[in-house]
Amino acid sequence: MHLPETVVETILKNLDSNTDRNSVSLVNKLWYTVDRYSRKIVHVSNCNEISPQRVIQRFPNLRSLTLKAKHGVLCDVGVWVDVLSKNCGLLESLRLKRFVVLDRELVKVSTCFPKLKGFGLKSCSGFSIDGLKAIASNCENLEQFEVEKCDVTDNSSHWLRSFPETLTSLTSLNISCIRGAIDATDLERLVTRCPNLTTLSLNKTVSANIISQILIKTPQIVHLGIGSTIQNLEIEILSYYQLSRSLLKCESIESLAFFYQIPIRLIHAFYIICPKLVSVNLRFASYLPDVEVVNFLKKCRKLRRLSIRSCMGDEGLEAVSKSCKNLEELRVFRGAGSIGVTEKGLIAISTRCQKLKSLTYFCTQMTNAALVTFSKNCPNITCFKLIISTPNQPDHLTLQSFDHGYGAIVESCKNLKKLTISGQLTDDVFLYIGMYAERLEVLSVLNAGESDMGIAYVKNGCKNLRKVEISNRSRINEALFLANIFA
Amino acid sequence: MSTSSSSSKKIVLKSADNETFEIDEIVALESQAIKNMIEDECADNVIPLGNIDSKTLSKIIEYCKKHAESPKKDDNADIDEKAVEDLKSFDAEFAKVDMPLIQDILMAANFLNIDNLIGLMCRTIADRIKGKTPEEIRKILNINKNDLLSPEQEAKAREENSWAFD
Repeated sequence: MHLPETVVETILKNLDSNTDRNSVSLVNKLWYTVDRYSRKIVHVSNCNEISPQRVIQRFPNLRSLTLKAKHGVLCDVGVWVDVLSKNCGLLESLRLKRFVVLDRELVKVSTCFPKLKGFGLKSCSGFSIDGLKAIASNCENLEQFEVEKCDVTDNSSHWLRSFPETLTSLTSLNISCIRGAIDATDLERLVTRCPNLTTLSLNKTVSANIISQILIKTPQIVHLGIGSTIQNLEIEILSYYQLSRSLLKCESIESLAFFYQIPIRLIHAFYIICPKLVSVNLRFASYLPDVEVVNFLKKCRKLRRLSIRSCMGDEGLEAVSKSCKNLEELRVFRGAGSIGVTEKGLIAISTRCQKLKSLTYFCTQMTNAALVTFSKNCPNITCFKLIISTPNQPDHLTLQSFDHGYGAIVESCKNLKKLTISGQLTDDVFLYIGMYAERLEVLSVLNAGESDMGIAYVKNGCKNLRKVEISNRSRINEALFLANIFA
Repeated sequence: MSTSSSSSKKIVLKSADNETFEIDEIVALESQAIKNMIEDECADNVIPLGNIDSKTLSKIIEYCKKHAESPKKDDNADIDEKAVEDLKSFDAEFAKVDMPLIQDILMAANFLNIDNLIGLMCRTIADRIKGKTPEEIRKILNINKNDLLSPEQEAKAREENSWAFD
């Protein structure tokens, strides 16, 4: 069957995800060409591997670009901004991750792309509040302004005034990492004139009172991130009541993130919205007592996505698994302190949360038996990342390597696309992966062992493999490893 | 075969396998191509459609009939929600056929220039190839292999795709 070009165009209009776009681009010459000229959203996951010229050449009509630099590799964003400004005046969205970005580059972005709607910086450095002010004041149609995990300070407390009075289009404002006091009046004026604002993430200087007032003006809010700290008990009690009342009006809210040290009493004010929450991120709520975390999560019965810290322990996970049966994505990050999660927590989650599709699990110990149980309970998982804290650690009960456990995962979980393995491994694990993980796209091996004999198995078996990451590899050069895989 | 009431003007469509379908003109007008033919007065009593078989044509007529009967969005701003929902569920049911027929309908809709139906078939195809590998997509759509990328082109595209991936 030969579908005409216009028809292929219409089919591809319905496919946005990069994975699908990448697949259709390989179907044949026509599909490659149609994808090439119609792809508007482009993610470059490693800037060092491709030139900006080539990106523009392959996708001349791109409108939205996300650029990521690799961990620990310096990448010059100036070249990208230069090439884009000459060839991509219609760019609507630019997001940068792990770059050194200078103020003058931000100024250039703000003047060269007048149609910019989406702007995001994540884990970037090198710029000051002045660069951000340029973006805010020059991009008149801005919809998303998102600055995350960057170290930047504003001492004036009035930088929000850089957003022009005429700006009403903001849908997302994430300024949680910008240090310095935020003027309450400026903030209130900004959010009030943006009726479509659905995502708001603020730093810890914004008090609970101000948050209450803001929420009254933004009952349409869907995603909220706060990090308010209060020391005074009386103010806390007052804030509690105000916050509860404001939250009651937020009918659409479904996602919540806490950072820093939220007073416990204020956490209780959020109980009222727990039944509505679909997504909760407590990864950065480092001072929240575990018992409060558990009590909070017990009320979130609709929860589908959760990020937490492993210091809540196996018991905490078990409690969560009992209340949050609809979990689809769970990320358990390494927490401070001696308590962590183990195979017990994994079994509890897999037994009760069988809708799980994506799991990231930082643990102190694991067993093959637990991995086998998991593979039987959660066969629909697409992303499985297991990080055992001690390098090269074997199954702590049998002292065997984890080949068998991971083998069970790849054998049972037919839709697995991303896999991160750690702990003691032998070549056999690659044999299993090559044999069963037909849909695997990304394989990460942490603290890997000494051998590279298994690589051929992966290379021959996993036809969709696009990316292999290896860390702490002592003997084998990573480049050589990759060259073998993609030879 | 008749699918009409007797009052309005009739159009007769003839399929590749010589089956004739008498339909109301209003139903035929869902096709921009037939509409143009009628307006240019190049349509005789019988319009032969030599590249559309009767199975496909009867599906197309079923679709056009339903859509011709439904109130149009642009001529009445406040058409009731129920009609919209009704049409949506009709479309969803309509698309529940096997891939060869979907492609036949799509090619015919493309020939007859029926925008909504092209859109519906393309959405259906997109849904069915989501999450699939290039090989699986070729198989699902039975795409002939004489336009494949050369091994070098494919290798380069694959490599580039690995950076163009999130």
